Amino acid sequence: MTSVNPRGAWALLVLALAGLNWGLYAGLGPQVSAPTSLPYWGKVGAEPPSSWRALGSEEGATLWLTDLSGPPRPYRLLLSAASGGPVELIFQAQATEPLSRAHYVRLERREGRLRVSSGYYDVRGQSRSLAERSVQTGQSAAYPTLEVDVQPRTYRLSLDGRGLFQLPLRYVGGRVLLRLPAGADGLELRALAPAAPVPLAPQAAPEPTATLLYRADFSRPDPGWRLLEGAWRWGQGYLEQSSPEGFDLAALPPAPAFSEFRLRVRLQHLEGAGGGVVFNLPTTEGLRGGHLVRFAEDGRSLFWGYFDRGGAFVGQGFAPLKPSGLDPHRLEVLSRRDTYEVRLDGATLARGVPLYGNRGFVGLTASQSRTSFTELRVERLEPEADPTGLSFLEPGLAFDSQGGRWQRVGLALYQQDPTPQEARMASRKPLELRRLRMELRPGETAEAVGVYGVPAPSDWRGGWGVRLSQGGRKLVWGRVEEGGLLEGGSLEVGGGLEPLGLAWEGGDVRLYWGPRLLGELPSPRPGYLVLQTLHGPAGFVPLEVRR
Amino acid sequence: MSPNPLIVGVRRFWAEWGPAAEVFLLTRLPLLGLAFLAEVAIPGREGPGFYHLAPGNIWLDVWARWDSGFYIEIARQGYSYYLGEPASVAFFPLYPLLIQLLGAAVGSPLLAGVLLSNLCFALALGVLWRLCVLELGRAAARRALFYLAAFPTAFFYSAVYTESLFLLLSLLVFYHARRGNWAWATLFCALASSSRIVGFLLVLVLVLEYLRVSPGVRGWPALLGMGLLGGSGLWSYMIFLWARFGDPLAFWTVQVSFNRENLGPLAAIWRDLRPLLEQNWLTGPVGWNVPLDLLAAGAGFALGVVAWRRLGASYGVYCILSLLIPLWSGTGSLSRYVVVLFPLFMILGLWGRRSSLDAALRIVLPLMMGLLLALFVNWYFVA
Repeated sequence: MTSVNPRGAWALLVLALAGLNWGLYAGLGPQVSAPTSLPYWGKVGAEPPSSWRALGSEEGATLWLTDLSGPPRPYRLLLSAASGGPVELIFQAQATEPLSRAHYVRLERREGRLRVSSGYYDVRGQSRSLAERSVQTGQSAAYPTLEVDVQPRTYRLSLDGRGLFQLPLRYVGGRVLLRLPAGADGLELRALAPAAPVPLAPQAAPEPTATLLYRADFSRPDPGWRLLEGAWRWGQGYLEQSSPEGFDLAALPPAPAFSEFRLRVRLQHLEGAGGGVVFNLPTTEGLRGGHLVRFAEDGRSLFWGYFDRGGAFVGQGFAPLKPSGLDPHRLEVLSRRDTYEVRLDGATLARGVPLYGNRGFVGLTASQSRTSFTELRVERLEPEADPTGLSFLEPGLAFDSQGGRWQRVGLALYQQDPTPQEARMASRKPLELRRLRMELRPGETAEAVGVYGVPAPSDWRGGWGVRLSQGGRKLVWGRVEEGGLLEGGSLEVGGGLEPLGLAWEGGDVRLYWGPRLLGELPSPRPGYLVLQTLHGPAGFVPLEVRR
Repeated sequence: MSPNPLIVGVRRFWAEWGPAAEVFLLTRLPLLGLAFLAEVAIPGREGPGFYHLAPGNIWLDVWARWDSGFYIEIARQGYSYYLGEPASVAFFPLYPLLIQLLGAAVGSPLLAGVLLSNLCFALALGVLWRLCVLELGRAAARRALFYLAAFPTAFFYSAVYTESLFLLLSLLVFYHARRGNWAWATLFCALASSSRIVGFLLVLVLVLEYLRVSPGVRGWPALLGMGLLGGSGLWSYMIFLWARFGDPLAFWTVQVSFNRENLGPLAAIWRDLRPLLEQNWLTGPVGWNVPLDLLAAGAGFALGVVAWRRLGASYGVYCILSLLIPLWSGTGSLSRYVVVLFPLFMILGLWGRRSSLDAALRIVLPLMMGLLLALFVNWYFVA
């Protein structure tokens, strides 16, 4: 039987609910700092204004909390600086100690150009880059005037009245801060009422021949994306793979299959490393048969290769990198008819890498990392008659094979047969080379793979040679002696594949393993170039051939 | 000669609350020292987001990690909600509101949070003692109290987390509902529904308990009233979210930013388990807390079924749904969600009459709690 309900409890319930609601609205409602009345003007002379407060210094730059609080409505921020050190303007900051939830614009001179980058500090205070642009400026040491036009949902950046880009606004109101180098002088910060928006200058095309085939719009969630695996999250201006676990997690945009294209993405590692791209995927169901280029999990290299029809990854090369932490990167893949090229931050890391498939779908990938992507573009590549001049197979560089099953894959040569004890491919005539750079790719069952420069295909004595053996772990080089022995030196290379470089000067050839000079040997000029495999399979991928 | 009234009072208090106080002191005092030791002896993780709210007072600082920052932020700066980011609207208002009120009195929201958590836990143990005595008898009640207080994630009861407040409120709902004090049960149900998302499930407990004692249609108006009022904490919060951020379900919408999306239990388990199966177990799995969460959830479901049969439908339904709702979107933190499901510990208290099980639990549970606490204070995510 239920007991009689005490009136006091019901009264207490009413009181508790009233208290809860009062507390919610009076105590726990979002708090906005009182905005400063406009216009505002602050100038850094020998010292910043006394109303500014230093919050700390790092790497020679001091973070200053100004006395300016942005209004929760449109306004403009103008920054001009007389000196050329890197400057960061932080606005709409919701928390300052530690700094978090704020937008930023950074100005920095690099090699005669002004780099403007913008993004935001997230809830953890981690800086997340959304866009950057390099602008040609005059010889003056002063920066052009930076204007930030804060709108209700976006903000626009312009330099000296030239619109650069427009980005989503995440935070409303909040404090304004400046990160200034030591000795900054002649800097002015102003806040004004809004004016007519500055039109955006068109983004310069990266190459005159580029035709845009597809561009991802990261400004809003797009349900058309196919998320194969991973925890992909849409933000304002980015797509993020937010799970730091798992390998080759991929997301494919709603774009058709492409061939002969340039794929360009902009990515930032927020935790760990492992971001990259997939391309030439035969289907949107998975990565089988497609190519992959991505950062290694330790951030110390970028590697590339493909997933074969069985889904196993076959590496095609890698390039060591200096770990760059949270710096954003621009990764580009140029997929041609037979080969592809890999570029990172404008530097070419690999060319003439054979394609496993030359047409297919593109996508983003991340492994063991939280990675944010802010750009994905696909542009048409006009066919190149002779893009690099590095084919082994161009006229005058014809080869004759002796044993084995030699096959052309793109511009590379592969000896596919594991059985013959020795297989050779020798140039049909003596060559006059100046530089040769190639990758040697011993397969799993290959005993050795070598390159030789010899006076005659039938008589190697007096020539030179380089041989990679023991599964790619030992490099031997030297003059070719009786019985094919190499008299020179050897090196344990630990399985790390570096390009083999050869440079001829006078009667000698210099041998390089990556950047390392192995030695200098006399070389027959002209001489026959011989590619050799002891068992197979093994490949020879030309990176550079100059005659 | 009449006995000293003070001594009589202490004796009476100890007779009534002694076992609860004993378990509280026995588990909380060692935890204080252990947390301090773990912080000073083991190098912790550092970097953006690994905050220290009281770097000048390690004894206090160690109790604020991970979600604690959100509660303190809400108490200090109010709620915030930004699309695509883990935002404080995911955290229900009662606990941060009490921190704000107490913080104004003691001068530090962090100190207020630690005091509040421990006070609520001490009171919760007292109510659990009374409820267990009512349902199980004194011997099983003693064991249940210890198992709950020494569970591997029971250190959260002393941290700036809402666990202890929610445990107290949910216990009060059950205790008063079992005794037919519907007004009190509704009051605590309303407060519980403003302290955690699963607090709303306690409305179901009210309904089931009411139907148990008043079957038929006669009590439906009262039942409806209790249901509406019991969830009024949640309604209040939803109206607030709608008024301030335009999204009454913001606490749910934001879950995706905490890596929680509605997949269904099986898909969620598979998603979290698969990375473990793909890695080398001889060299150490990275997601070590996934097996712990799954173990806790598996045991929770099993014991929930037993609780349904031994203690009544309200106990079983409450436990099972409390696990199923978070499991819908992932296995993360299940070992923490389990710790407030006191009916599971009541069942363990019954089973603990077997001395071998009792001895095993008395050794394993505190050891695990110490280990997980050491990880927690050094910024390794536990639950």
